[in-house]
Amino acid sequence: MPWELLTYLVAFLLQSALLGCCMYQLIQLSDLESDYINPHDATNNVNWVVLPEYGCQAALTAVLLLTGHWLYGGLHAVLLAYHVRQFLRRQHLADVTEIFRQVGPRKQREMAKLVFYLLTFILAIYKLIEVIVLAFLTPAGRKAAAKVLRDAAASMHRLMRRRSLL
Amino acid sequence: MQPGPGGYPGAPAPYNPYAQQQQGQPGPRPPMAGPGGYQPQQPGLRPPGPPGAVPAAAPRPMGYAPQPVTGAANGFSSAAPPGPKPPQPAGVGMPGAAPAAGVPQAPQQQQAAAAPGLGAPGMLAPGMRPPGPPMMQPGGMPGQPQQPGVPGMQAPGAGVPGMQPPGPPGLGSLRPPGVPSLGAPQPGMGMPGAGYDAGMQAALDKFETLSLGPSAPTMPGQPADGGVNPAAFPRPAGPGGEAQVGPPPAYSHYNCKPEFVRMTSYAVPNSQALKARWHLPYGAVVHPLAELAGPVAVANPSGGPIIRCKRCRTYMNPFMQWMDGGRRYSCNVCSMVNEVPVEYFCTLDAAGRRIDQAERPELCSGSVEYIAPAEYMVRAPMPPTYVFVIDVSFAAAASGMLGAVCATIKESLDLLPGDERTQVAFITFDNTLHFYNLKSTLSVPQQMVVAEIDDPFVPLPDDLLVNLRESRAVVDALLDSLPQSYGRASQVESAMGPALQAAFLVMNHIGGKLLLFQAAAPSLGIGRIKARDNPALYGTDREYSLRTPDDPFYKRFSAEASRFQICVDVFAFGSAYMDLPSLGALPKYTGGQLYYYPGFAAERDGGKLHAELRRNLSRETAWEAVMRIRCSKGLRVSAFFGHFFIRSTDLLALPACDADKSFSVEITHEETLLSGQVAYLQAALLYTNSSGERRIRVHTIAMPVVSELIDLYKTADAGATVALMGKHAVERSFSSKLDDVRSALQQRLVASLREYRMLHMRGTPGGMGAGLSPNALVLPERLKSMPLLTLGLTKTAALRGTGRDVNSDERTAVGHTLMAGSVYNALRTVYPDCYPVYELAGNWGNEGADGRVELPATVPAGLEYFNPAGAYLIDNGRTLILWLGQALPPPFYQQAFGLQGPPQDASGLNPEPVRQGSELSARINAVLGRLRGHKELWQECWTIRQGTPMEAHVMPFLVEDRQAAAGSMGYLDCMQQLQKMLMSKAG
Repeated sequence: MPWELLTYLVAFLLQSALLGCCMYQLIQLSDLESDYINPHDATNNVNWVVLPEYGCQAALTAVLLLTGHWLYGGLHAVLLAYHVRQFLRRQHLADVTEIFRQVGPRKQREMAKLVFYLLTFILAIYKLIEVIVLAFLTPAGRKAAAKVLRDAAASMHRLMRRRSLL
Repeated sequence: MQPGPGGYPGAPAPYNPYAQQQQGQPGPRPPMAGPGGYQPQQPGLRPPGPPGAVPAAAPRPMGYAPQPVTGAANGFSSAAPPGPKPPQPAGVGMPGAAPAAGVPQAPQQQQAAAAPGLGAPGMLAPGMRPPGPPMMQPGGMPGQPQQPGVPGMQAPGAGVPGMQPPGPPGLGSLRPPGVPSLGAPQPGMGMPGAGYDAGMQAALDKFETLSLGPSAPTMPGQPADGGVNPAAFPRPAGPGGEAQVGPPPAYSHYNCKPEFVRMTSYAVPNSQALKARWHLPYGAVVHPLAELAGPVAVANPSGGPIIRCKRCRTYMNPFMQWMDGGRRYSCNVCSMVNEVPVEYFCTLDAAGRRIDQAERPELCSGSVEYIAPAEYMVRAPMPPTYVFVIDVSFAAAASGMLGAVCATIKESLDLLPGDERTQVAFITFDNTLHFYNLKSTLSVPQQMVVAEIDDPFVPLPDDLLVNLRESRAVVDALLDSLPQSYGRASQVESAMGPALQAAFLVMNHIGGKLLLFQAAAPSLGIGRIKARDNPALYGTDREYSLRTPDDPFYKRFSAEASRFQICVDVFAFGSAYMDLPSLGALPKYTGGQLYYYPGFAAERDGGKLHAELRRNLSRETAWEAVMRIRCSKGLRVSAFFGHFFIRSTDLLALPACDADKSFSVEITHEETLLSGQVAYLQAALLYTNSSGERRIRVHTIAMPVVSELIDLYKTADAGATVALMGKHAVERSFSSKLDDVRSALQQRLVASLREYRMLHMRGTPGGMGAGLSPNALVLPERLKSMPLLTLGLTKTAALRGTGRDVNSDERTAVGHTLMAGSVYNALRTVYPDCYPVYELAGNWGNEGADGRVELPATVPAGLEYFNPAGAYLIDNGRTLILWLGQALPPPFYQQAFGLQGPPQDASGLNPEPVRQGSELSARINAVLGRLRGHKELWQECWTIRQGTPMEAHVMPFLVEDRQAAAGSMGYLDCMQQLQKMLMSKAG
């Protein structure tokens, strides 16, 4: 059980990193489109996060598949295959000379990835919470949970009473 | 089955039987200028038609009158008297009312003017001719709707639901007020497929006459009653051939000259939907510094203000609208109302024009130049700077390239622009880098060798880049000594990448031109190339990689170079594969040019190198330039083609620009509907000239906004269209297979012709069955040579065949000239000019009335049109080939070459220099001189005799012939295939 918890904790962190990378690229590309940034800087910034993103994604896939999360890992494996293909074709980095031609398709691609990352991110959170909740469902856990809940209820009660008094 | 079999096919010119009667001109006229020209239609100029055609001729509000049609819009009820041509653009648009009188004589005239090969008049399908069909009787229908798609017309009551032209609802504002929006159902409308409206008919009327060129071929298998006669096909050759691919008459006489800006169609579709039906590229070829158009006036010689719209930053131009007594003006591009600065104020005359209009170049000319004040400078204007990076490895000395280059540079030093400001530097390289200290106090240059090529550094902080005037003696000494010091070089390695990096370090504080002379494939350091021209890749998914840079260094370096205002010109001299797709990236993104001398040998190609390098160094050059192209609201530039770096969505960075560079743009609609009557395009080039003045050159062009597809066809420019298609295709070949590129070109053409055919059928009563012969290939008049030009495009070295036919170096070289070249150049690349130069008849070769050498009339580029007893000069934009027929009589050899008879090997013959006492020779040389004048590439003249193995080199340029390569089509095959494709899908 702690392993499960650890896995999802790692997944959650990596997913947030991926989301961040993806959003950063999107912001850079839209800035470029609206002429807030020059193509040299935009390309540098975008390229700066591409490899970290690929790395995080590969790591995440490895963690998920090694721990036997076939469905979740499978989803990421598909994306990993795409990333590997891009990398092998040397299309992963933005090309400063062609950036304006690429910016449209690239944005679409990042958008699609963002959606994917968001969905898997929600999955990760859901699973994480589920694991935490399940962890409390052992007899010891139940006792601990009951205590926590009781404390919470008591403090709520106190709080509300104080407020109503005021 | 066809009502008029053989009516159209095969009849020779003239195409337009109406030309004479419409214009009242006895002679031939430019084929495009006729009906539906730009001017607001005038009654007197309309093609006459029988009464039935009258409603058809009712005013078309989308016509070329810049003003909304006003008043008596129901043209056929009020025969407007012929009036003076309204002034443009401020004039009131003449509604183009149709005179009811004088029309019935049309059929007779038509018959009389018809070409001999044309069938009896009865064979002319009804509805194919301007005379409208009888069913078009006005019949007291007040107010045929002139605007297809005017909202009201789409009421089901129109009786022809679904038959509306697929355009979107027209512009309500364009419709003359008071025109009933609904036409009465017309007789004959019950027939499915016969729906049309008067506006459409009007347009077609003026158009079909032109379009149904007698030269339309029939389907194969038809009785060939003179039907299939390729000689009668349209082509941009022979007398009037030039006009076929030229621009139509200008919409406004304020428009900049076509040498500067050429549009693929000089009308703007008013909606996205209409644009979608124009399947050809829509855009412009901008040639900002064209020499041919003459000098451009300076608007503010004394540094006066530069007036620009506050919002869209459009420069003042003749199309701005003045109001409020001249205190304010409305921007023609974005309609913003601006205040006129006090110092620019001037009162208006009665017509709303400024009184000082004639004195101000920016108000009376579409092309103008401004002297820019300090706000337009990021730094002080840079001096002209030339850095020569010369390969001195074994190959350079062996081919004689080093000697030829040094001699030419030395000779051109006096011609370099910039007078005493010019700066130069020299770097040579083999497996090491050599720098030269050119300090003016030295008597001989000091060489410094840097062996570190992984991370090159500059051994001396300054004195490498020196003022030419001060250090002239040292530079001369260096250029004299270089060929000697490296004459016996044995070092075969060539470290080009490091040399470029070093040159970058030398010049990046100032920018300028970097001229790279590369004798062999770069083999050391960064950017070294592999032999990767693998023909086996053709047909695979990786095919495109043969045409794109291999090492990312090239693109990265060019991007950096562009950032620091460095323009790279590459002179490549390799005898083997040089990987020009990689080297070509350097000029491509820095506004430079790629020169290619395959298998350079100084004694043979020295002249070409000399002329081209000299032109490169001596021509007027614009430094640290940026160009922006603005269009009217609702339009947007969506793609650029040429040699530049895109710095922001619509800003091109050009470290250097010159008269030989042109840039093309594609224009798309940003909004579903355009609101104005006239749309504008303005190209502005901000640059530093060689004398250190910051200048802005502005070209403005106005075009009518139209709601009919037919108007786009009527104002099309075949030359610009094919140039843009070529650029598009070359660009596409960087990411897809050549096969796909070629078929895409054809698809585009077919789609466009099919659309045109539909337009025809819709305008024909009874649809296709009664009107259009099912076998007729209908070509738009102004685009009638497009099938041939498209065929020629697929046969250029840039797009032809597979790896065995053309190697990727040559492909790249030709692709580059097509990308950056002018329309003139593209046309020659696509369809070479063939001049007969064996008869002394005519005045060719002598000075003509315009002071230029007259050229002989061209003949079609096909072997069957060549006289075996003749000699032809083929101009394909890159070389000149003198083709000698087998049966050429000996006197020709005597006169042109000073020989007694045809030699065994004709390839060594050279018509130059002029043979003493021979008029023929003098004339041929004069023609050569004219064809070579003022071009980036100097065309060598090769002589090839018919029947020798060398003839294989001419074949690719004879575009109309079928060639050896598999799948190669001749003109006739191409037309027949086109026909089949049109039929199969048009159904």
